[in-house]
Amino acid sequence: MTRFHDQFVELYDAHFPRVLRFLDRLSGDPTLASDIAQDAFVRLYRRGAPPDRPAAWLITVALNLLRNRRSTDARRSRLLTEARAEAALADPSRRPDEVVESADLHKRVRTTLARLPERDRQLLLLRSEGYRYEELAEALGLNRASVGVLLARAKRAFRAAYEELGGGASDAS
Amino acid sequence: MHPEDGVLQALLDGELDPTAASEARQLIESCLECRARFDALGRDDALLRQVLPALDRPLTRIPVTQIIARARRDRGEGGLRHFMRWAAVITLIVIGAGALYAVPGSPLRHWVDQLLGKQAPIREPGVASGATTGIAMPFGAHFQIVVVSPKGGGTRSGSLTINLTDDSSVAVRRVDGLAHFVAEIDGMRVEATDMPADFAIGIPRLAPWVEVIADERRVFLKDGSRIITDTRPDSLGRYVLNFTHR
Repeated sequence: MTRFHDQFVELYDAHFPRVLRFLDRLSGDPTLASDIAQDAFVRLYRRGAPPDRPAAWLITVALNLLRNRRSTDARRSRLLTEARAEAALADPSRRPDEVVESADLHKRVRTTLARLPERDRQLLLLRSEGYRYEELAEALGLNRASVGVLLARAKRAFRAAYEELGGGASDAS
Repeated sequence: MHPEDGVLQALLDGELDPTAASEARQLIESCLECRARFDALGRDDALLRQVLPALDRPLTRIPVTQIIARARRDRGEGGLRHFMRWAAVITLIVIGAGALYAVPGSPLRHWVDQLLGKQAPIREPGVASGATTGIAMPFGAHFQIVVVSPKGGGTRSGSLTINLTDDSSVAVRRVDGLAHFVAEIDGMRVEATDMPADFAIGIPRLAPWVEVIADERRVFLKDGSRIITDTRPDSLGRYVLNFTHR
């Protein structure tokens, strides 16, 4: 096996799960998220060499792919998102009251995120996956020194919107 | 001095260097308001950690081998597409160049012939063939063909059959015998060995200026697209000039 092949496998193991979860949380569409995460890694493989900062590179590529996909397929994506979200929450092992609570929370969190500006949404979701400030700055085209203050504002905005929808920290426990 | 929210958030996220982190911690310890803001940011973090997992569902992890196989397949298809695109472009260029080459008076033919150093064949349809000899020369801005009858007594006669061609060279041949052909700087000199003598002359349409002199008399001039001669072209477009010298 070539050196790049080994490097690629390492990068895949380290980054694929969080790229996929980030895209799923951002888009609300697991199929779309999976497609885009795969596309991003296919591009990385075809690149033939690892980028200097793989985490930021992968997120940048994934966000570009998502933007392109949304612009060409906006309506279809919306319809599928709603259908899949409902299907994903229908877990037969849960009690009916748990399913209702979970569905409520899911809907409230998604609605809260939807109320935030796109950049705030991306910042919060990327940070929740453990991306460093430097990676966030590069992937989202921000000044590294501004990331902290933008994150603080985004979190405050999230809390305000979440509470406005009737949520509190105890809901999630 | 109160630290900004960005600094507090960076402290919370472990993004401050040790010196800045130490300073920020001291400020938080000594300032109730700073402490309150820091705690509020911590609560916001905790809220997100609590509620964001509500969006999650089991996701299928794709085997890395599948990604690599797809990347290789895409690359192969991309390579084939690339090759096909180039093949189509080259085919179109060849067809276009062929068509351009075939157009009468095409400059492409002239350039190609010049590039290859190819001399125009001494071959003109409609002119009787026989034991011939001839010469072909590239033309310049001016080109002169001088046809000279052999020295001696009696009537000397013959014919010149002039064709406009798509070749890149001026060609002259004798169709009924032999002649001496002498290349000169801006033209050629043709001396028949015996009379009567019939010559076939091919003049490229692209040649800007070509003059034919027979026994010291100008009998034909091509000046650009203008032809000056005493004879009209026949049905094949040839100018057949008879000359007699006494």
